Amino acid sequence: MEKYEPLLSVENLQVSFQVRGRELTALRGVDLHMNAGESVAIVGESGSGKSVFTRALTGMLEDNGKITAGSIRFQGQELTALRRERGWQSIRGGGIATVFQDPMMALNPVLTIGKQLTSAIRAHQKCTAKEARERGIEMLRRVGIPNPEKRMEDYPFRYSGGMRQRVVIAIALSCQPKLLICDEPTTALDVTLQAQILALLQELQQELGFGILFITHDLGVVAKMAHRVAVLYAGQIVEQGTVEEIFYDPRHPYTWALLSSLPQLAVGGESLYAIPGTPPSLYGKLTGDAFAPRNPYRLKIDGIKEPPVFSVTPTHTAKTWLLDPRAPKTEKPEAIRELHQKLLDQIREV
Amino acid sequence: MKDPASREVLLSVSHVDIVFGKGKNVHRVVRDATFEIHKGEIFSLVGESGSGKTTLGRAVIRVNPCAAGEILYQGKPLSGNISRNRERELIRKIQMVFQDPTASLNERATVEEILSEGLRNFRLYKTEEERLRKVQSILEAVGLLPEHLHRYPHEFSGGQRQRIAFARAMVMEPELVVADEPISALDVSVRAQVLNLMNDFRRKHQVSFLFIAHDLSVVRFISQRIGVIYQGNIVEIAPAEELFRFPLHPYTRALISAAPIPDPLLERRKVLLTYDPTCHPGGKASLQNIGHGHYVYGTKQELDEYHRLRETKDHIPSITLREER
Repeated sequence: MEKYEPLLSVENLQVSFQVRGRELTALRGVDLHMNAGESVAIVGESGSGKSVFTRALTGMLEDNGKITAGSIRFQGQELTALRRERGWQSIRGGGIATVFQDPMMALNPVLTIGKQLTSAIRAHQKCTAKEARERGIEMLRRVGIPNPEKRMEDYPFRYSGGMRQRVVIAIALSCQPKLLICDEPTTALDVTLQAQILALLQELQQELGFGILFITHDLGVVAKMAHRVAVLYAGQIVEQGTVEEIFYDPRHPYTWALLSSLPQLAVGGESLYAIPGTPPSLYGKLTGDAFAPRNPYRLKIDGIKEPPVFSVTPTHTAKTWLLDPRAPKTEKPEAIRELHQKLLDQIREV
Repeated sequence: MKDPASREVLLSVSHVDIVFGKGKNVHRVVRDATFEIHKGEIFSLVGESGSGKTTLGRAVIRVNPCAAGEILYQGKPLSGNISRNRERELIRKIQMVFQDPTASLNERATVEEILSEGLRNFRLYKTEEERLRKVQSILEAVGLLPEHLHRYPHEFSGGQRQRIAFARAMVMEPELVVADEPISALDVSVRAQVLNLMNDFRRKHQVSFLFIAHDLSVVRFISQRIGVIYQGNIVEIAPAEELFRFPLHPYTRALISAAPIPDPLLERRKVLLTYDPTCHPGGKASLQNIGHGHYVYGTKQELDEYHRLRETKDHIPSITLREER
């Protein structure tokens, strides 16, 4: 398993924003390691800091945000030391590329697809306009756009939603990045297109060997795409493990809650499980476990002291007091036990 | 087309065509759509983007005119030559909830103003106290607190905003609510809240819903019946469990297989089906009842085959798993 070489290692990353004179801490110490060619999914609800994390990785934080502590090492280079746009230019494109949620927002409506594709290639690679064009056509063909020579001259409005997302993927991959960040790339698409785009990403990953950092809140997508999963809550990774560990042996009550709210688990007219309450405000300091107010399994200590990270297996960690040897033994909720069997039965329809 | 269960039919859409454009640029967006919504049921319309599901939903709230066919509400026409009183009544009885709660709520009005607007327009209260009581009780019904009345939409999270949008529709005491992808813009954890809310209103107040969605796996657990629409044609209508047990139309099977399963082992083994619209034999196709409240679109030959499958098979698999290596 450990035959990959390290690609990205993030340690104790903290990001805060100045909002109307108050400090908002969006990331409160994130640790994440990624190997080359690996797919890691980051799961969390809106406001958990998923998108802030990806923006910190590519130096695209808004002006009022800054990295206050921690380090990001990408292929051995310290990214937090990069101060200028110039430095980031060498990372973006050739190193880390991003596919955003809404393909219409990511493309410029007044430039042709060809123009946008070749300008990305020429900005990051040494080549002539003609070579760039050829590479662009090749990329479009690779992502499954029929008749790419002609389609290079079309404007984004002539492409459908799914085709636009393919173009965005073509642009992102045109400079052979080592890490592709996919920030909810299929949320704006319907399920049939989603299945196609996800299959395309998997295919390209096998062929080109880049790592994927997948940001999503859809656990179905996670199950399909990820080797490893990190669950983000209120700016901290509360549980991390292989995809099997997270789905079949989750240890953090927040992961339990996320899995329990899957509509696939509601049987015959019963109400779906909904996580009570809302995520905490990230202004100021949080005391204790950030999930405690919404946690039906909370312990007294959750309100007093922040839980440390416990190791379940060498690949699986969870940040909850429930794993402390002194804590009462707590089983995961009934609804998500034997998840695999339940879903298998549903498919077989017996 | 009478349902054997003979429940009260609230809305009946029959042979509706919806057309955009004129002359050479005419686009037939919905073709020969026929379905019924019963009182107190959630009927889901599922299809990919561009299939005409939203257009059909908008026809029900009388925004898009029908080029052919008619829509009857409680047995009487919904649009066209109708009296002013009936029109006002219909506006109150059929409400809509939109996909994006940020865009559909007036950001400069407080929650109280948003919820009271319809009540004011229809003079649904006698005294100010009564109005306030109505607004407060609906707010409570959607799980928000009385102090939220004086806040503005931007102060709420996405899920809360969508609940305000539901409250705005429900305060009018409608009989039918058209919900156009109300959960697509929401997080998984918040989706459950909104789905539960719909189910509550259905059970407690016998409200019917036309629920428009693109993900069959979400729809399965909330709707009584499901219609699948592909490029303007309704290809299959059946009770929810019937549809999943006997997905007869190839497009329905492709749609079921496209939804990701939240299980890594199964998802890895799942075979993705794709729908090839050229797989049908030529000839005139139509939507026909093949028994068990199950309607499928097809030619005579196909329908006979569907009928045979339905009667002889125990179930029809839509998700096939590869053997594990």
